[in-house]
Amino acid sequence: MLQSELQVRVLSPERIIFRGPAKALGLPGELGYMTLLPGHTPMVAELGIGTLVLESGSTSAEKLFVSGGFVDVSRDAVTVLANVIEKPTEINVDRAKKALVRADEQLLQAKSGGVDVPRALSAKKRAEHRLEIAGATKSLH
Amino acid sequence: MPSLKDIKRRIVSVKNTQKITHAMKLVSAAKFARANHAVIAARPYGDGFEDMVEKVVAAAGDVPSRLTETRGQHKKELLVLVATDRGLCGSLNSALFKVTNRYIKERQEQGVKFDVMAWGRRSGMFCRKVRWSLLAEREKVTEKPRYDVALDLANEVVTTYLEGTYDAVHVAFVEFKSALSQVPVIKQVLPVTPKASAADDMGSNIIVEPVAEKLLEPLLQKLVVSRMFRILLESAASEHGARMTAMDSATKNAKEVIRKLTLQYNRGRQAAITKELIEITSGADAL
Repeated sequence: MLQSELQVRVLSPERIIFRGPAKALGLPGELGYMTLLPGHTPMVAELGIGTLVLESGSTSAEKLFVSGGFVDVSRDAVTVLANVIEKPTEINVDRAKKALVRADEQLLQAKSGGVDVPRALSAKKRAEHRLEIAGATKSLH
Repeated sequence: MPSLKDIKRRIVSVKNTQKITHAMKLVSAAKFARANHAVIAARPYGDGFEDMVEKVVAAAGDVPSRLTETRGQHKKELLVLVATDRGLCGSLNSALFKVTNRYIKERQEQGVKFDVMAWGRRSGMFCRKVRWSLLAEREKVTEKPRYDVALDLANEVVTTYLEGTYDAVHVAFVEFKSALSQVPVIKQVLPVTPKASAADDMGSNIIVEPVAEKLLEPLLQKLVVSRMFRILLESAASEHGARMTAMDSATKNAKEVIRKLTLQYNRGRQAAITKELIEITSGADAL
């Protein structure tokens, strides 16, 4: 039987962030964005950095910041086990802005060496997604 | 027979002690409520993680991993002893140390050597007293158990294990049952044993992305972290629960002592008055 809703649980190691039904769930997979719909095949996937979009149907989609973790899909029950997950209100905008500036500076110096480029890139990605979800403008300079 | 003044002084002193134990009980109650809440809040993640690992292991089949394979003969093992930083929590630590001591003695008789990682100040103090070979000492691990702390600690343990000196890693801690009941236990954390897969129709036909074989190693590492986090949370809850009950009974005990001393004091006072009266009346009679 095809159900019309996913039973979603979004969990951080320390607490439950969200628990309830959803029409669809957008996730940043390690290999790219994916959207889970009801009736999805059982799956386990690693998560990357990005925005988790929770479509509950009636109200507008809820967005959460995710960084790392796993998603476990089984028979219309989805469990998101995130390393870091933040609601828009929980995002520290100042810190994210500073992190973005720092990452940009590091990337500019990358040619002269001594910079951990993948690390700086993921820091930049994290900061950008945080700012976008928090609704803060990206322009800084 | 102590003088009235002495009794009075003792009453005051016991009352002061009672004030302290009562205050400590209230503080512990608040901390316990928070720790208890944290244990419950972390449970879904822990359980969810166990379930997921179980599925991936089922899907990946027998993938050799350095984290799961048992290393033949157990010659040398590592024990992590998680105790509290502070005392005044009843028999919590001593019960844990007793169980651990018995376990280590038993294993040593079988020819296993031990190194110990002591987490918590009391743990270090005990290990030095019994002269176990200490590998590392940490304090304040259970004060505010956060996930990143567990991550650090678990990584430390996993790295040490992967160096290959030890054949297994066990953790001795106090499992949290309720505010009134905490049980000292010794659990194996490495090599990791994921939950046995239930005979389910899923398993082999589940999508794992990226490939299961590649996912398994980080997943198992995270499983150790997740279990370690749970151990820290439970230790913290046990500590506050035990301290709360210990301080409650200390307060009750102080009340009882005060009652007895007051009785003694009043009797003594009455005796003194009676004695004085007799002296006066017999003095009057003599006239």
